[in-house]
Amino acid sequence: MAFFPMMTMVIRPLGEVISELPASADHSDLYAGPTFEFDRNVGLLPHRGPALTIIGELLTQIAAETADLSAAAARLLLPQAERIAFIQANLARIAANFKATLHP
Amino acid sequence: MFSITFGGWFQCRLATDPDPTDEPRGVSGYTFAVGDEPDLDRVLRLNDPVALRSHAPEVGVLVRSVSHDGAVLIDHPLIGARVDLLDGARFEMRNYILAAQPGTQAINPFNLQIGGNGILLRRADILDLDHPDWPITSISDDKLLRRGGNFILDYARFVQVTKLPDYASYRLRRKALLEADLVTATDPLVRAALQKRLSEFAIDEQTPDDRRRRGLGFVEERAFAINGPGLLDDPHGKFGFKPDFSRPWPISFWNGVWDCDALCGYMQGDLLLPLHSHSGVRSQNSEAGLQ
Repeated sequence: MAFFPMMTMVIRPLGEVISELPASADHSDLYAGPTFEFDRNVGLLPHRGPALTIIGELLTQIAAETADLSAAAARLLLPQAERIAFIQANLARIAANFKATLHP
Repeated sequence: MFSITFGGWFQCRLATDPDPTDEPRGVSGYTFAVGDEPDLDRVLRLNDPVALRSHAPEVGVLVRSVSHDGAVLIDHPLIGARVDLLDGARFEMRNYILAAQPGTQAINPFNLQIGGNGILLRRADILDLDHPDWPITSISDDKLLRRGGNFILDYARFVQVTKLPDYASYRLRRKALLEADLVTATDPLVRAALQKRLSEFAIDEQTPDDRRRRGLGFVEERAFAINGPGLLDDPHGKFGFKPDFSRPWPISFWNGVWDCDALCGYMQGDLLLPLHSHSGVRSQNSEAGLQ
């Protein structure tokens, strides 16, 4: 349940935000289109405990990276800044909730 | 002890799961902003609704009765006063991020105001007294649960509020009104809004157990003690009593009878005000900070 909201509260809003941003500096008249592809092999860990620990660490890491993005969006006065900040706050809580399940 | 009983319909224009909490128009859930309505903002409006839909209940949470130590005060000036939640109060579940079960989420912020007939009474509840400025996403689960609800399905309260025998009657009555409106509507935007609203009624006609209908029986019950700063602005001494801001104020209330077409629900509850020992002394302005 700690991980459950990732799709509704992170992936989908993130996709919507990305699709409102310019594709690149050279193509500011075109919008970005996220594909959500994996460009590398996903190595699944066979051991549950370490796997969950690593997932928790990754969640914390992306929450921190999203905080940097949120700060940048605010500095740039992007119209999406508020939404990115909301995604970041929720992602940080998802990470905290997930880690709490590992160490009740 | 001074007791205030309040009740009435409130408006809450919110997106619903599986839409993200901040979805502005509604896509995947069962609530939507239609036509030229403003974006969904999740704010609990106990009065002064925004873009209230046609045939919605009359929105207004008001003081219904007051009593002092069990004796009903039939002519007290607070009767009929507005009850409001200030500063953009919202249900803060965020698709299970801040609450594990539907209906157990906190309402935040919880800054209660009761005002009318020259009296203004206000008090805020603080989720974490040690960290009053923390954002809700930093508050521990147990502190969120203190202000969270207990979710039940309660047909009896639906009947009490609507005076109708079943959820289907409520929905079908609204549907008939909207169909009549559609016959005479000529503005394309109005027609589009009506058609969208009517399309939702078709869903629970097909599937009577759908949440569009079942939501009329949703009830969340909450009970906690309001613990933060407050004030009484009563320049003419009409209130007649001196609330004790140094003690928490117990509040218990329920919200439910969720009308997903009108984006409204019903709220009813009781607020208890401990009084200073010299109760009955004419009150004047008073203010208190955090306990």
